[in-house]
Amino acid sequence: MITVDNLKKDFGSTQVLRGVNLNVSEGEIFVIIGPSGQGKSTLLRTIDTLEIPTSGDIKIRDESLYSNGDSRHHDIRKKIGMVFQNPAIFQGTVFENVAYGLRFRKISSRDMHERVSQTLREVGLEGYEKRVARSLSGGEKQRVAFARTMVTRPEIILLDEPTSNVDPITTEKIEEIIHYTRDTYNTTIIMNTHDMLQGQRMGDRIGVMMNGRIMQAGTPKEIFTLPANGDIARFVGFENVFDGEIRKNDAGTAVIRSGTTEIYGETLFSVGDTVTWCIRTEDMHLHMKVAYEGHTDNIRNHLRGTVTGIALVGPRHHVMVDCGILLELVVSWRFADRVKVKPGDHVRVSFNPEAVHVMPR
Amino acid sequence: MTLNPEVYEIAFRSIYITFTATLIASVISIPLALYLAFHDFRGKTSIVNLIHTLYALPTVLIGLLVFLMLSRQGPLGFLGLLFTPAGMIIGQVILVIPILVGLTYSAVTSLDPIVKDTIISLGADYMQFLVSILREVRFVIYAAIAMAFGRAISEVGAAIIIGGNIKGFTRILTTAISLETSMGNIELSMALGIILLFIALIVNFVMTSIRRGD
Repeated sequence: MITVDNLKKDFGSTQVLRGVNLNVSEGEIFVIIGPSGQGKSTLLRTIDTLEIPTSGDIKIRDESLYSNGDSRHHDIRKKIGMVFQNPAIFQGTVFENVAYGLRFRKISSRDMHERVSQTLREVGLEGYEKRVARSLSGGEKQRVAFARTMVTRPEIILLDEPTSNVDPITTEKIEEIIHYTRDTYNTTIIMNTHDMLQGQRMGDRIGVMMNGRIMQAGTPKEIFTLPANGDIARFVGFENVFDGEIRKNDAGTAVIRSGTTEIYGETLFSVGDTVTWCIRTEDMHLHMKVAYEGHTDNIRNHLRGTVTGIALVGPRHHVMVDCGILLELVVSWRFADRVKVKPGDHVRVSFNPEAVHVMPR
Repeated sequence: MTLNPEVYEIAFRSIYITFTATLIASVISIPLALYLAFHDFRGKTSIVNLIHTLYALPTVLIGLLVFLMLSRQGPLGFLGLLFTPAGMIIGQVILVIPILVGLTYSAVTSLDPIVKDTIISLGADYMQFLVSILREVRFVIYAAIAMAFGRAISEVGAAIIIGGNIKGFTRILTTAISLETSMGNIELSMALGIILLFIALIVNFVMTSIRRGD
């Protein structure tokens, strides 16, 4: 449906998009996550033809947007709709706002009334037609912006951080509207968010955008469990990310050395390869008894260390343990209370080699 | 005074000349302001600065310039417009164009960029885009038109120089006040002045009503 091919965009001497490649299928919700200032909005604006790329191309159903230069008012334009982070609400009533794009398409007055009413129903603003649009609450305005885009039945909807300025209840409502739109009209949706959990909830696939490129695209599970490099791992919430070198590899179970510490991890990298490895805080166990008796539980990684700090995050304790490398792991408050763990305690940290994710450095 | 047909005639002539001038100036100024707002070219900043400076253009200076243009030896002398209402209209058009261009330009350029992006995003072609932009700034334009009307109807310098204050032909409220005052007819001058004030009040009321009814 949408193919982005080596798209580059410079603003003066600043390269914002540095070669974006992307494929989005029809009816798919593709979520772009990434830190601020990495080019997410510029990418959407370029797909929406609001920015003209420096080089590269975008194809919608094999029809090129940019091979013929500036195509701002090309017919393809009418197949795309965009909702902005801070929606612009026009002068006049909710009806006038929602009907805006229909007027451009010269829809008859009767059809216009029917479609506006239906769309307002779909976004939960039934009966709002005559209200002055600018007097609505922030969440209602964002829903008017959605209705205004949806009512034109675009094949593609681009959403630039659509929930970043609204309350949690409105966020939930807007997420429902997004799913409804895709499920009902088979609309292809590309959505930007800096909220990873929203990305996980909404996306059929997720693309991680960093340094003006899509660094990794995949299902939410792939992105959150198998990040492609250390930067992505840190962004998707791996607290423990380390550089290392493969010292041994015995049929897929490798010994990885990081500083003076060696761990076992499952990987196909060869001896001598430099790698980055990571592990989630919840995939490690804390033992107050430093000594351990053999591999009875089949866990091969047992690192001794000293507790350097404890932080309370929600109902859990994050415990920092210096094992030569500084590991951060999570224990329940019940466990922490029972064992009375405190800074300075000598402890043991264990984890399975298969919980270790190894990436190229 | 109230039954004096000459007073009515002068008042209607004032309104006719200024209304026509404001209409013509609006038709010229609004597209010009849009052009300035959406096109970049060398010297644009200087032009915008010049327009803002011309807000305070002395009316006698405009009178003088138009007089020189329309006088028999001037480049437009062949039109025979000196000392005619048409000549006065030309003077007032020149007088109010800077206000109309300047205020429309400021309103369009200070519009939130997201408004412009949203209009394009909703599928507007170029004309639809411009019309939508004007729709969004229409209240500022109404105010600018009211202001332009007020400046044109109240000016006297250009009207005297270009129109010549000919009784029954180019005499308007301001030139009549000037003449009657100099002749010592203070009461009549006051009455004409009240009519002028009343017209300004009506223009303001009409503009407010348009805005409220919108």
